Amino acid sequence: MAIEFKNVNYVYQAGTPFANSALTNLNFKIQPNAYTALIGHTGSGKSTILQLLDGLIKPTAGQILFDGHVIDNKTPQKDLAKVRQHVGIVFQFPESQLFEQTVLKDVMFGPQNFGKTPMEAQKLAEKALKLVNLPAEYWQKSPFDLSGGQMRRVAIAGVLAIEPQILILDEPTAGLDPVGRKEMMTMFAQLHAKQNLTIILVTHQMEDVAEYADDVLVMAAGKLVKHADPQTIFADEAWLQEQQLDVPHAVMFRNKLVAQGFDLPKNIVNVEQLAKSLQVKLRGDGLNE
Amino acid sequence: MSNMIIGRYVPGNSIIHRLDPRVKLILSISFIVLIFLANNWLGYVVLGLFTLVAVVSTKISLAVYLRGLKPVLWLIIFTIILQLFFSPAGHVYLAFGPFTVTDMGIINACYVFLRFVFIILMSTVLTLTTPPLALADALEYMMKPLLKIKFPVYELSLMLAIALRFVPTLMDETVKVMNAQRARGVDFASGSIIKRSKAIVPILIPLFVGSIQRAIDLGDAMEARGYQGGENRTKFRVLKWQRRDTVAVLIFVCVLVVLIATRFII
Ligand SMILES: Nc1ncnc2c1ncn2[C@@H]1O[C@H](COP(=O)(O)OP(=O)(O)OP(=O)(O)O)[C@@H](O)[C@H]1O
Ligand SMILES: [Mg+2]
Repeated sequence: MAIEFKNVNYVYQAGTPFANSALTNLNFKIQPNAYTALIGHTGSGKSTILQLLDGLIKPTAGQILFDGHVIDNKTPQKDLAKVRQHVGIVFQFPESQLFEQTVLKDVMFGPQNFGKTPMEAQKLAEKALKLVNLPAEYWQKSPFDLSGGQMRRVAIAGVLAIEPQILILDEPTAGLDPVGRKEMMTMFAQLHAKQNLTIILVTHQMEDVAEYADDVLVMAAGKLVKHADPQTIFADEAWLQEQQLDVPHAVMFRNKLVAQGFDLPKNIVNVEQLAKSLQVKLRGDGLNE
Repeated sequence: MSNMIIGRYVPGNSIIHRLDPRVKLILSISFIVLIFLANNWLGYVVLGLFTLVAVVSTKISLAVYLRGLKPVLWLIIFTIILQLFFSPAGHVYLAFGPFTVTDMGIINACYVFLRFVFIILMSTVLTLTTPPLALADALEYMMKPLLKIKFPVYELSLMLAIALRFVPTLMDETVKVMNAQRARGVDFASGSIIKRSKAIVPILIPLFVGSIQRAIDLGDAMEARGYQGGENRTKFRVLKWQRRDTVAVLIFVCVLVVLIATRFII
């Protein structure tokens, strides 16, 4: 599904003394099957964009187009619900959405709401639980008896089980251990590659942006300040620091080497690319001796 | 949730904002008594002027106050209708069956309407200009005499302060959980009553679990820092009586005297 934002504005609690303009005049397009990273300083409006993307809130002004289907301030709630069927959203700390008696039942909740029979829902739930790598021995337990990391997996499975075409992730790995983090991110990358999922990832981990994203949106104070591929974004370290952001370690490493007189290509953003070009470089230098 | 104006503090620096919360609380309560002193149009004019002055000096837009009236509109209308149709005395304008509309009825309905509006406006002045925690402090201060009969004043006011502190947190949490469940296909807006009340379970359970967890965490944190309530505990927010507080009380007393006078003038 292609998504387009046209002059989108959002004001929290519009018309009260607490009105708070969170987004101003957003314009961008997300291609089908893209892996888009949404980055920006705390409070820059990332979570607000995600809520708009899932039809949980309506733009105060402007339009959002899902494959040409228009959502604006006048769209009735019923049409928004239709959007939600195609969009899965993993919120910040999603474990607070668990409520069922067993893990399996909780994961079946989504598919059943969207009209699947209990049999189909169970199949989908089992598939999703396998995807997030939660051993079957936990499936009949209460979700509240699990560890924080396991609860996170159940919550993510609950979203995957509705088989969305667009998967929205709001800092899905915050608070997970390094191995769990890697596992989750790899799983999302595989879903993206194999099932043509469109992914929108909000993260403060620039490494993840460099590793997985092919498109980056940079937000600052409710405005879109840059929209480009990771190479372009990470080419300007000084500008990123102005936005209270940073470059990934691989880029930092490259920049330090370049400052010391090494000649390395500009388009390095992740460790793999760095290793490759270093290998070429060192081998090349070695041959010259 | 965004429509709830009553009970929400709007930060500001007006003279009313700066008044001691104890003064505001006591005067707001006394105002309700004051209202029943008025028994003719002149009294209501005086009350109206007083209310208007209080509202205007908060420097908060009038629209905010009007929105505060909206939720109780039906209650007001209902009471007015009762007054209008069931006042038996006076000159009869209209009569059908047991219902009569009399001149007394119309006048009474007007008075009841004004009483409602004045009381709501004044309590809105109180809540819009006083942070909830300051109100809790004021309550604690006023309950202090009850310590003599071993009433747990400090404990009660701590409970109140904690409850008030967590109201916004709980509201945020509710929105978050609702969003998460709506994203998983729960529809709160349509369907039968049974279907809709079923949709509450996936919201309530996470909220309860979260609240209990927060309560445990808060208790642990307070214990870890050696919290002890009671007599010798000093305060972070110290309430201090200022000259403006005395002035506020004096103004109130003047209005009271004038009101009593109106009872005799007409
Ligand atoms: N429910 C709300 N009511 C009023 N203002 C809000 C609300 N939620 C967010 N805001 C405001 O909107 C702005 C954008 O918030 P948002 O949650 O989208 O930021 P974010 O980029 O997701 O930040 P973070 O990285 O901390 O998650 C902030 O200034 C915030 O204070
Ligand atoms: Mg956020």
